[in-house]
Amino acid sequence: MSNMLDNIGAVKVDDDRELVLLSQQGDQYAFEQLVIRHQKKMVNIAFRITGSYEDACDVTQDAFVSAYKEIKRFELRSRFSTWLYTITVNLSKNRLKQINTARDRHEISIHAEEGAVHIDPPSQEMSALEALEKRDVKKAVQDCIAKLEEDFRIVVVLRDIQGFAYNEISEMLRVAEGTVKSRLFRARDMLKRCLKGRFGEL
Amino acid sequence: MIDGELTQDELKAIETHLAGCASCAATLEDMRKAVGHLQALEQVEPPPWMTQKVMARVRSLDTVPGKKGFLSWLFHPSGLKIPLGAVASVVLAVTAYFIFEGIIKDMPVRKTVQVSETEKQTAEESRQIPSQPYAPAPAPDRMRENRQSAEKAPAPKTAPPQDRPIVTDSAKDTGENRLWKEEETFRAKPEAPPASMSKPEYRTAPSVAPVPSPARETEQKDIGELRKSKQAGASGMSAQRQYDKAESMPEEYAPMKAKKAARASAIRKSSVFFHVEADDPAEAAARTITIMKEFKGMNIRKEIVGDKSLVKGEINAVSLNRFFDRLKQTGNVREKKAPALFHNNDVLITVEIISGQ
Repeated sequence: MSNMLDNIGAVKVDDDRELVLLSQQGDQYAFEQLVIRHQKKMVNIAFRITGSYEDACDVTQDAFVSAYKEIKRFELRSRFSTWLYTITVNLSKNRLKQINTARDRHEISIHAEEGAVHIDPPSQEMSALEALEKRDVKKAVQDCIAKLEEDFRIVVVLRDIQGFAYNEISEMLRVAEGTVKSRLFRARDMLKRCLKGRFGEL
Repeated sequence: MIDGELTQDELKAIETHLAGCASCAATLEDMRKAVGHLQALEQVEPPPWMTQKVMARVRSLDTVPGKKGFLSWLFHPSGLKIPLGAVASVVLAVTAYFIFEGIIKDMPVRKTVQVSETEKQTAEESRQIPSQPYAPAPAPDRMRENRQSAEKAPAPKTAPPQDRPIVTDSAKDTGENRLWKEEETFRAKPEAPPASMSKPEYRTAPSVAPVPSPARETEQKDIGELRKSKQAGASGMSAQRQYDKAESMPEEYAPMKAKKAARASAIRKSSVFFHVEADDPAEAAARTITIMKEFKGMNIRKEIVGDKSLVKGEINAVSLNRFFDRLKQTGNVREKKAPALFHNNDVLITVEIISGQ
């Protein structure tokens, strides 16, 4: 899975080091390179947590701006990306809370299209039926993720969708690795049940 | 096991167990499949404007001179700059003009007319408002200035006494009397990227600011172009100040802004759901759209989700009951969800139409 390959061997080698140092000295062009480099991942993290592409874009922007403001205080002991994605996760959590609160207060019912944006894979040589089935599965997966509670959703997003290592997740969420693992187990279990409920079998 | 994190011994122990325990093996398999589905989810692409927007915000952080924090937030809540210098100097110019007028033309005043929003402008503004709800400090002052000055300085600026029109023509009154709605109009939209907004644009309303009663003039300040002065002879023109954001915004921002506004308004506004069963959903949807238009609905749109049609729009809360009555004519309607109270005037209506057969 391509999204897993990005984090293989999470050694603390920071490819961003140079750019971060320059940014800390006020070099906006260097910061721009960081923005280009990391935005996709951040949008995806935010998207899977909040369930909304639009909110994900907002969150990503806010995260970058926040990082820029604080970049002088960032010490290069840990990876810049981990720090950046932590900000993203936190802002996503906040946004999710806002969405849910607004939803509850105004009794907006959760329509399928709000959470699950249909991202269709390019259907090469797939029959129409296959494409349809595949899309249904993806929609079901997204719906089931949306049903997970915040903490469980986040670990699943970070681990199984974004492919972060346990130690990275532990650092981002500021919990022990053991906690990450147990949350992940429960989250996967819930997902499994949810998917089974939708399809009968996986 | 799924993550490949076990030691050899642990792995061996588990595999031994799995060999003998069918249910555990099945559970593991299901778990693998579930994780597999997750890993198969595609990554989305960030929008093309992301970098530009982030950097615009970043740059504005640095260029607001020394005034970070509250003031920066007050005037640049989204980090984008409003040319306050230009605005401030215009305010001063306008104020000075009015004072000048007041001194020179010492005439009794009739406070007449202000400028009103056309519906379209109101719609456009209110659509854009929710994302950044604040009014810049100069603007309300300017409007009050305008009113007060209008009270003091009524004479048309270009008219020698004999040319002063005596507005008795009621035809000029209709549609051209405009009312300035302070609370509706002036909320600046600080979301336009800085590059595109060099100065605020003032649009002059194509009207005289006439007076219902005869033998009185109104004087209104004409800022910007003097359009159609021939219409009213030499009388003053009403001026309508407005940031013409739609024109100054680059195209790529407009859909995002509209979406953002719609999104923000979706969160902030009250929402009502109607569920309609109709024999012909397509026709019902078309009729629903027509009805929404009748009620001056805004942001009317239709979406298809699976086998359902969704028609959405925003209408004024006071019309809600009548809307519901009209909607019943399209099919079997159920009100699905309605909030206890309406916080503001506009309500987001979502009509879900499914086949009744």
